[in-house]
Amino acid sequence: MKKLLSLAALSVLGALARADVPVETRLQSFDTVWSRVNEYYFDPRFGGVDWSKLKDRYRAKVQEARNDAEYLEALNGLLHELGASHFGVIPSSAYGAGAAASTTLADGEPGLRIGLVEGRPTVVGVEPGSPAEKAGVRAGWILVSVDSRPVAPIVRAILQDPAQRNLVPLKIASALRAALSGPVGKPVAATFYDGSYRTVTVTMDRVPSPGQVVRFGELPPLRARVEAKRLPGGVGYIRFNIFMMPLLEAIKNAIDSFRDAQGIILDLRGNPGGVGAMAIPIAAKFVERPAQLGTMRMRTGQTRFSVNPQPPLYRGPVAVLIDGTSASTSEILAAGLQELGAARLVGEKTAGAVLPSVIERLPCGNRLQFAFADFRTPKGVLLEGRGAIPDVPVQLTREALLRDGDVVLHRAVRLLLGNQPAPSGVKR
Amino acid sequence: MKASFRNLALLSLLLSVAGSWAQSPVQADITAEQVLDKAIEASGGKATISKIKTAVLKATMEAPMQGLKGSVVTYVKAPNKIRVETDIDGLGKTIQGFDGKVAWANDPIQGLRKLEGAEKAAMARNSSIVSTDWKQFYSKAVYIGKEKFGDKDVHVVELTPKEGKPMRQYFDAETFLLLKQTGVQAGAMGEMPFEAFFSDYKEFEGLKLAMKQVVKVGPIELQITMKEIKQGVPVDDKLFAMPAK
Repeated sequence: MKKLLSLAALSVLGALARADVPVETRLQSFDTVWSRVNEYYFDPRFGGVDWSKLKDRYRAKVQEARNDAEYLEALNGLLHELGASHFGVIPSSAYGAGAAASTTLADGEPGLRIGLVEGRPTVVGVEPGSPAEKAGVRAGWILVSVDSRPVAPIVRAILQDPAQRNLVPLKIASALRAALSGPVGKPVAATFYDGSYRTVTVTMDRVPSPGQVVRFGELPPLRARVEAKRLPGGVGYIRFNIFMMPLLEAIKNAIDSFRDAQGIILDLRGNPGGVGAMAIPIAAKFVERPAQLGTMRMRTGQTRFSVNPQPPLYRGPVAVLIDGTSASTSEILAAGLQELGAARLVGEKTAGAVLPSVIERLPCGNRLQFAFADFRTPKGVLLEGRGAIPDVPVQLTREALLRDGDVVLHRAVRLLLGNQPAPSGVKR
Repeated sequence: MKASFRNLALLSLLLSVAGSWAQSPVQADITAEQVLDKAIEASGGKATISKIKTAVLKATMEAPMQGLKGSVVTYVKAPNKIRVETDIDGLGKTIQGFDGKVAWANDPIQGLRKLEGAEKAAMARNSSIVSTDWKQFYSKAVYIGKEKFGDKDVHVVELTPKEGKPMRQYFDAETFLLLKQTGVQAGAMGEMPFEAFFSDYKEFEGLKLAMKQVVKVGPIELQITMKEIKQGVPVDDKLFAMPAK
């Protein structure tokens, strides 16, 4: 049972635990963190980091922590020394006393996707029917503040962090999503620069994210959803927000329902990953013979992501939409389909956060996420730190967003309908 | 019954048994064959084993550190039929079967597929309720030596399947019950080293069975606890046949 868990933890920005954890429990938890990584980090040389030496340094920090915030900072400080994705400690408060208490489930959102466009936090997507759409917010608007608090410092802090530069788009999207989120029923006032650079402040309701609540092991409960529709021109469009097994049948059914479509678009933008093996049955709808999506390599042993065709197959052209917020399993699926010649990737480079991991409960109640394997594509490309590279790069600009809305989607539709030549080296 | 680690699903099977032949590479007071023979006797003996025609075993499965829970139900029918259903919360149900000729698996990730090569051989090895004919499945059994396992002395035997990689079994030097097994799980998705530990043996209608198994694969530690064992119950042959879809 080798399951790949995701960067979903990045989106869990719950408050810290209410009561401080006793020092003894903190130290016990720290020792667990250090030991699990020591035993299972896939690279026995720890990427050049002196893991043994770090133990004493960070144990002292844990011992000296004056509160849980400093304690958590010390734990994450240790893990960040590795400079790799899928390492972190999720505070116990992200889980709450039950599903209802979870910040993930209890919070609502206005229905916006914010990304960094030309260096500024910009609306890159507005959910149809969402409070944001009803308030008139449009793609291309620049986010200035949320409830009178400027967002520039949030963006600046992330941009100035030298660690894991490839994760900047993911971090910014997560941080600004968190800034806009809050209790359902409590509106949020956001200030934007609109298309004419006029300052516009709109008040938007926060509504629960759509989708079913799914739970998997020690991952915080999440809302998972699949959206499938036929676009003008006959192209099938499928978007899902996370790779969780309860969605699999709906995704496969959607693919099957588009059997006669002129093309299928898989939209993996904003998808942080999930159960890694789930990339296999999705890919199995698009390959005509047994193939590999890649290999995860542990300190001892390795596992191939073997794909066997699962009829009925879709034999038409496929485009996968990606960007810097497509992470983990999204990257495995996208890069694998690309190398197999089964799909073309449209958009921006993915996050480059592709390390199979598990999430475990620590004695203090927080959860540890740690990677135990790396992942290489069938051609041997290490995706961690690199990401999947689009065949059809689409660099977002504010002007294009204002003019055309979802320019990446439009480009993919044109590609599938044959209005644009396929890039060289792509089979289909 | 031999323990199997094919996708960790056949773990609900019970004892490793013996009945073998081998040359020992080390000077020892005991041979691999003798250890394996004694293991058969420890698990109940050939006469008792041969009486078992069908069995249904139900167990819980848990990976406590990762918060995963599930169940395993195993159906076996003499001489060589088996079906294992594994259901893990949040992941779905995996079914594996062998009807004496065709080995197959059906899971949400790979779908329905026929098993061949080493995978099929592994299913066949684990299909017999209790195998007392090692030559049928193994080409070699070697006595490695005596070791300490916790506070116990164990006899270590290395078994080489006709198809597949060698595995080592560790038998209590006093009781000859299987306490540990190590090897490499080979399958369509690669090779994964594993360690399995057997404990809490209880006698059930003349058979001694491990009620608890712990299997370690990478950072995952699975605990399998036997909850119910029924022998001699009707088991339909259709359960073991590969479904059409």
